[in-house]
Amino acid sequence: MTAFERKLAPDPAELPPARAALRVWLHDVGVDEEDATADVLVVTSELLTNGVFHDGGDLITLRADRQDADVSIEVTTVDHLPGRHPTYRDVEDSAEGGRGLEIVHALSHGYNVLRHDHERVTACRVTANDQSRGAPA
Amino acid sequence: MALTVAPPSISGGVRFARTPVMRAESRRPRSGRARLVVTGEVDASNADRLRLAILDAARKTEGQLEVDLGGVTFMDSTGLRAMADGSRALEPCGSRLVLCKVPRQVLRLLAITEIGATLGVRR
Repeated sequence: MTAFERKLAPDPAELPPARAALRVWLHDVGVDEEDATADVLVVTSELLTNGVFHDGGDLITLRADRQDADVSIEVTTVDHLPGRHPTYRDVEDSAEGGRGLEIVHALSHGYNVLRHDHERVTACRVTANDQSRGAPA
Repeated sequence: MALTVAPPSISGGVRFARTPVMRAESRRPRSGRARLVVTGEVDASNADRLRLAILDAARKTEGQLEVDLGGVTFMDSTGLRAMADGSRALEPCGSRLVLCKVPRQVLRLLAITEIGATLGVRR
């Protein structure tokens, strides 16, 4: 089973094709349940959107893999170009990023943010089967 | 009356996909009301267009604006924010935004977000 990887420019126009590619991969690895697919796609969309608008880098890498009953999602952004000052703003301080992370928090098993010199990695896991899922309120 | 989709130039520098994935079209089902039909995927690439379409439709109604989401195949927090912004803008005019034909994926987002509680849904 092959993990998913896609590199994209920090451009909102890249979001629909990235989700479409991830949807195909989810199907290929057997994640077909409607709510599970929707959760992975929306969590990914939120993380990518934060990467596009808040990280100030020039390249985003989206990775996904099956981890037991979960799908792991990892979004890596380059914080700034070499020789330039970082432009990173904490997404949790912004209304838009905060709202997106509210969704990530609700639909995933929590997310972690790791910062390296020029990189920021946001990782989380989303349940890939329909057990323990509730119906919409 | 067809709503013209706002050009990218007024979106604050956000660029859109070459092929629009969201369509918004307004109709008037009855006097004093307006209906905005949204189809496709709503995300950061086009949420500003949804916000502008809601505001435009709101200007043309004195009562309730129905936002028909029956054809929406995906929405994230940027779409929720666009609808909440539109809803807030309607209030001072005595108008009201009501979501109808809300797909399961969007209902689930409304249920888990604070902003979702502020939006009226017709079930």
